[in-house]
This record gives sequence, structure tokens and C-alpha cells, in this order.
Amino acid sequence: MLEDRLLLWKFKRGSRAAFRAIYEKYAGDMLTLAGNLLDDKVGAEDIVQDVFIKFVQSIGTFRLTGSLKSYLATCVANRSRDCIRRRIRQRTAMAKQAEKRAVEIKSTVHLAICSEQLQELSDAMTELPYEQREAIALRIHGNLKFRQIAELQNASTKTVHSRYCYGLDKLRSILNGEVRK
Amino acid sequence: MRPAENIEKSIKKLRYKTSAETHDRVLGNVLQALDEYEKQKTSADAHDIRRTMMRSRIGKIAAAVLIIVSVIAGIHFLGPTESVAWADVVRPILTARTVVFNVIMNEGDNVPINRVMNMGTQRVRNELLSPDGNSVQVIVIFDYDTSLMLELIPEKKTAVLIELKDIPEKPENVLEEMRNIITELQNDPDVSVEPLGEKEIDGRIAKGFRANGPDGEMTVWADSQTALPIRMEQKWRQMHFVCTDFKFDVVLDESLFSMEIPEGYSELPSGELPIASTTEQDLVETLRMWAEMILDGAFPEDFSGQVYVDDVNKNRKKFAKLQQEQKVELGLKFGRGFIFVQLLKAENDWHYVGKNVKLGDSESPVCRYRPEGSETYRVIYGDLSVKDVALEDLPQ
Repeated sequence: MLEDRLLLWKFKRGSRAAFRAIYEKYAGDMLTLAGNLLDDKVGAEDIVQDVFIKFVQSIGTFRLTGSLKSYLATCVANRSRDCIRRRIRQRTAMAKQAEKRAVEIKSTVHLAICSEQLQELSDAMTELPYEQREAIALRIHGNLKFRQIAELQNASTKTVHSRYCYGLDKLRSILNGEVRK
Repeated sequence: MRPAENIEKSIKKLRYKTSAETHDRVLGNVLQALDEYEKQKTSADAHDIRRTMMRSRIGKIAAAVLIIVSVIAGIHFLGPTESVAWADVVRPILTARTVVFNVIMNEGDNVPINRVMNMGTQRVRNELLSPDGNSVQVIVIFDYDTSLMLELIPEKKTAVLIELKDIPEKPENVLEEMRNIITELQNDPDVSVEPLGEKEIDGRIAKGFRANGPDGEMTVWADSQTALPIRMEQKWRQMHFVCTDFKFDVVLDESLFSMEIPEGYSELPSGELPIASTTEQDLVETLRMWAEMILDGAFPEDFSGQVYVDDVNKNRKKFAKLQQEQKVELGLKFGRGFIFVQLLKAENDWHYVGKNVKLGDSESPVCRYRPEGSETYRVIYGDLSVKDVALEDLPQ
């Protein structure tokens, strides 16, 4: 936290090295978050790039009120949601799975640890209703508090907690073969 | 251990990576954007202007006000005689302190002008001028302290006092509002701002910026010397407004904002216009009236003030026999559905698809939105039935 504030302070005064340090520190986490939020992974790197571009463009007036990671994670979540919304409008449900597979083949974003079980879990994540997936990804990969996720989802903390728990339950069911994909 | 056994621990392992080349390319793009940003950061003043003006912060109240003005005034222009075509809706830009400006929609010849005057933040006067600017066709005065709206038709010497009920938020002092915008933007990188360079407007050098936010796009041209806006263009949903002729800190006579019925005017029965309490049923009713009364059983091409006014004008004969009071009542009823939609937020994901749908068609969706906190969407069909539909089951 203190390290982030120091990096920000230096970056605001023109230090490219400070920005690189911020990028190196969080780009991977943000890619993971975007990868877990999106149905397909091809847009994850674009989202990370957009978030960092907006971040550098706003640095003149940027004021950190919480943790930098939470801030970036919130931006990633907002952009992911927009991205998904756009795609939903653009394609039919029937074409969704086929397109997902096709774009994943082209994607340069992949699971860091490649195993059949994790691939299965990754697929199961995409089966969750978006709010549940978002609650899980932001909690586990974004380190956001339920209260912060609630603000983002414009819902009560209780609702977000329920979404998180329902999402985990559904994942367990899918992985145990209780839910047909 | 299968992932299901310790699901949270397994999800933590769901980390994604990309190739070193991609990583370097993304970092390079970000650094390039940083270079460009630093080049464009020419002056602190210009920076503040764009930060202040870029994001459309026209409050929900202002949007509701626009609808009230356009819908009611639109109805008033219906009559058996050919009146000046009212084809535009108008809206004030900012609820500002002692600011006067003109608002026009779809710039061109013979376009009516709406003159907006702000007295403090609680009182606003709208004057709908004829295209030549020589006569005032409709005056609407708002007093947010008392939640009253007074509408005057100078030509007919009629006045209607309407109570605005359940206003959800009071407009803030415009300066406070601008400061709030700056503060918000400091922590909101999701509004993209694009500098447009300089150009001459009315003999002044203006700096331009364009902002793209979730609700639309706003372009601002501001005086490069004084930092005051000269021209603002806004695309908001289907509407396109241009605001010009700004005057700041002008002295405005108190009488311009009086809620007293002027001498010589006859007062029509008062009405009520609930704002925050408008419901989905109001939207359904507006759709029903629009299809039944105006479009002979078809739903409109789009759910916008512009389309509404156009449709009304094309079918003005249908309203020829209505009394003034009935027109006011009708305008208020139409307005409720518009206000309901105006108050929806971006996350409510409002979508209208009623073009070519006929009233009574139970299969075709007309519109949909997602209520706050709901997992499912509310979909209104052509027979005006409303169903809860999951995201994945939404009609295409």
C-alpha cells in the first residue's frame, strides 16, 4: 500500500520507471481478473491495456482513496461488463459457444497452469450468471471486499455475499456433474 | 484433489498469462498513450475545462424537465390549424447559477430555439422561441424549492401550474456540481477524453474536447482565453443538442421566475407529475397510448422524445377536438412513461426494439430493462404483457 503510494507519487512527477513498476506489479493480476470475467479470453489483454491507458491519461488528477489494486480491479470489472454487454448484443446464444471456442484458439491469453481440471473449472466459471462470476472473480482475484463489490454491482452487501456463495455452490455442482452444462 | 473439493483454492489457481511479446506490446501501447497524453497536456486551464465539461452530468431531474417541456409543449401545438412545426425537443445543459444559453436540436434552418435561464440552482425559465427568434411560443418556469412548474402559452394566454411530485434529488449549485465532476473524474478512468485541437468560433479561438461516457457523447468548445464554454454539443441516446450563446453572471429579473399567474392569463386546471414514483406501468401506459392513439396500433420506431414529437405532428388531426385541459392531461400521461425511462441508469440496460411490432403481438418484444438488483430482465411484449426473462433467454 505504502509502496503503491510512493510509486504513484514518483509517477505523477514524471518517473517512467515508477509507472513500469506499477504495470509489472499489477498487469498480471488484472489479466487474470479479466480472463476470469470474460466468457472468452481474447479481450482480456485489450481490457488490461485500456485500463492502464486510462490510468496514465488521468494521472494528472488521479487521487488514490483506497488500494491501487482495488481501483484497477474495479476498472477491469467495469470494462469487462461493457465488453460482455456489447458481445451479447452482437451475437446469438446459439453462436456463443462456437464463437467462444474459435476466439480462444486465436487468443494469446492462456491459463498459467495448464491442467484438465483447471480448464474444466475455467469452463464452469463461464456457466455462472455474470453477477455471480463477477463477485467470485473480484473477491478472489481482485481482493475486493464484499462491500466494494456491492458498490460496483449496485446491490447490497448481503446480495453480493449470496451471489458469491451461490456461485461457488453452482461451480461445485457443475464440477461434480450435478448440473448439465 | 478435484477442484470441487476446495473450490476457492482452485479458483485462485485460475491465473491467466500471455506471451512475453503480447505483454511487451501492451506495455508499449500504454507508454505510447502516455507520451501522447503528455504532449497534449498543454495548459492546466484547458485541462480543467475539459475535466469539468466533458462528462454529461445533466442530472436526471434536468432530463425529466426536458421531457416535461417537450411532451407538454408538443401536445399544446396540436390543433386544427397549421401552426409552426414543433419538431424538436429541448433540454437545458446545466442547472447553473445565473447562466443563460440557447439550446437547439438538429441545427439547421427554421429550427426553434429554447432559451434557458437559470436563477440560482432552484429556478429555471425555458422560453421556446420561434425559429426567427422573434416570438415566444411556450414558457415553462420551474421552481425546485416548491416543486412547481408553471407553463404559459403567450399566444393563447393560458397558464397551467403543475406539481412535480417525489423529486428524487435536488439539483446542486452548478459550481459545486462541476467540482464534484472533477473529483469523480479523478477516480474514474472510464470516461475517455479526446482533444480536438483549436478552431475559430464567432471570432474567438476555441479549444475542443470530446468525451465518451456510458450515456452518450459530449463535445465542448471553450474559449482558449477565458476557459468558458462557447459551444456544447451533446449526443444523448437518440437526441442531439447544441448549446450556444452562453452568458454567465447576467442579471436576471425576479419576475422572470415568478410562479404567479400573469395578469390577463386564464388558469387551466392544475395537474401533478410524479417523478420518482413513475413505474413500469406508466411505461406500459405510454406505449399503449402511443400505439393506440397516434400510430393506429403500431409501436413507434424508437422510444425517444424526438420520435414522439414527430409522430404527434404527423397525426395532429387526431387531437384536433381535444380541449386544452385534455391536452395537458394527455401530455402528463405520456410524460410519465418517458420519465420512467429517463430515470433508468446505464446498468439497467434499457433497450427498445418495438419498431415494426404491432399492438397485440404477444411474441415480439417491444423493450426491456433490468430492475435494480434483479438477476432477470423485464421484457414488455407487443400485447403489453410483461415477463421476467433471464439474460441468456432474452429474445434476440
